[in-house]
Amino acid sequence: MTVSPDPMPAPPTVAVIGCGTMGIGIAIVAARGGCPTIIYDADRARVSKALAEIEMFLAGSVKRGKLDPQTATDTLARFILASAISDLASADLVIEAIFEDIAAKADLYGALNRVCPSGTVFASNTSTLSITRLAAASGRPENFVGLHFCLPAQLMKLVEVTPGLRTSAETLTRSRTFCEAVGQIPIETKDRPGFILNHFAIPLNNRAIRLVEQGVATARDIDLAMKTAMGFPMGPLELVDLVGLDTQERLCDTFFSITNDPALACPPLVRQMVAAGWLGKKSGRGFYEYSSSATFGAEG
Amino acid sequence: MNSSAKLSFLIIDTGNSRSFDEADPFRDLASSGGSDVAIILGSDMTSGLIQIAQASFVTVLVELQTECLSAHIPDNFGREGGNVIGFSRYRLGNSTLTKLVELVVQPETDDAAKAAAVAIFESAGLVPVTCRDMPGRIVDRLIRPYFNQALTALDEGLADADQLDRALTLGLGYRRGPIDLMRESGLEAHFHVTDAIYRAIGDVAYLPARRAQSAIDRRRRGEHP
Ligand SMILES: NC(=O)c1ccc[n+]([C@@H]2O[C@H](COP(=O)([O-])OP(=O)(O)OC[C@H]3O[C@@H](n4cnc5c(N)ncnc54)[C@H](O)[C@@H]3O)[C@@H](O)[C@H]2O)c1
Repeated sequence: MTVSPDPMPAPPTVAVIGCGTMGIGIAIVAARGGCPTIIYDADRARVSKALAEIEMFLAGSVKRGKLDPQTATDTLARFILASAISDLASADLVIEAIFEDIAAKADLYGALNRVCPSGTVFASNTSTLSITRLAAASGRPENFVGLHFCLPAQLMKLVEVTPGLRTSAETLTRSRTFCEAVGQIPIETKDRPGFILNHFAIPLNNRAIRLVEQGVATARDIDLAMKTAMGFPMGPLELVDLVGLDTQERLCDTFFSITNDPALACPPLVRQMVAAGWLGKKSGRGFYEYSSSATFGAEG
Repeated sequence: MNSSAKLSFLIIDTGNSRSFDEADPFRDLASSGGSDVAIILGSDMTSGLIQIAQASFVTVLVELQTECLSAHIPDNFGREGGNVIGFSRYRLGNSTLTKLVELVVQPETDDAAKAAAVAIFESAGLVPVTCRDMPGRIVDRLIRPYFNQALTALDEGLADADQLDRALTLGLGYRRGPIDLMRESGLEAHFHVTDAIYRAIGDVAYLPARRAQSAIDRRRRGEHP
């Protein structure tokens, strides 16, 4: 029997696994919201690089008058850098944001289950995978939940909160309470592929990519059209550049294998761009060219 | 061509323009004669009228509804082009007009004609973008499957209308949610646009969603849509 999560202390200690595009943003949200925040990545160099990016983001927020200097200093002091998975044992809530790959995630949860006390809640930031299936691999399905943050996580308020079939009511309540406590807006969704956001965003972005592929219009004109006509804050191709072409490829492959929906099949252009090293903003080139490859250095 | 020459254009109005209604200030920019550019507005234009304009003006801009420019210009198996450019100012149903003007070009459209079209719409404070002559152009090609999906999501219980709109506005930063937009612009208008694309390209993502089909059924029975 799985043990119910212990009442989450306020503030809970949060561990974020995966210091990529999303993990860094989620870690900022947790630490800025007052939680001691452990960050961990299988690639050790990424952990220290993440802290440098976080520092740069916080400094930018202070410069723009969005954060006072003391809050930035306190936020930074809440980070704890982990070098091994055993360093995550003290976490009350683990938020996983590693590659979108069910086998990699399942392996990670297996290892975490051995390290963390049975009351620790595990959350996945997966975009497309079933929470119930990930929960089954975690060995603690009652204490498992989907917490899908939006890109860029440190700026967007929505979190899709998704219970799996066996998620307990307490886990769900605690997850929602955590989101609200760190200033996010939780919306409960069903455990369907892509939840709400990616059910809509991935096919729309794929269609935009296919228009570029077929030479119907340039990326610039497609983005300008959607921003002008529909009031989108960012065009679909600017968004894909921010998401990362490699992540888009993984998302499509996972999503398509679950749904068999042709709208979700990875456009060949995405694979070519990934092969060419054009991963979007993070590599300096995607559908656009960028002078800074920092994931979100300029925003916030 | 200097820029003031580019800006001089004449309007030929066949009635019921969706891009520029009778009171639109764009019409005040038109000259009464001596222009190189003719803009044919309205839904009642004929191929004959376009041919005459093609022969009489350096550049001809033709307002399109849901049809392709190729509905007005003979096919030449991928080598179409010349001095005619299609255009459509974007609006959802009868909602407020946006500043977007989609310019439709063919493989061999004259560069000078493209430049003239861009200059005219930009000088009127509009935002022109260029696309190839494909059904749905840019925005409808992207937005119609999204609307169909939103309508289907209601049927399939993914979320209710408010949750959908809230998630998409908060999560993706969209100004308005799909249901809110369709409430304003109407299910029938959505049906007509997406059905035209579906018939042209056969992709089921454009097949009008059940709610849009029902709106048309109700209209056919003379009931309130
Ligand atoms: N990028 C987006 O727009 C976006 C938005 C919402 C959710 N997501 C989801 O968030 C997750 C992460 O996506 P991302 O875009 O941040 O990916 P990313 O490629 O930018 O980062 C992934 C990180 O995870 C690390 N990693 C991989 N395997 C690991 C393991 N076994 N243990 C520890 N670290 C590991 C990698 O070294 C890398 O630093 C995915 O599930 C994705 O679907 C992505």
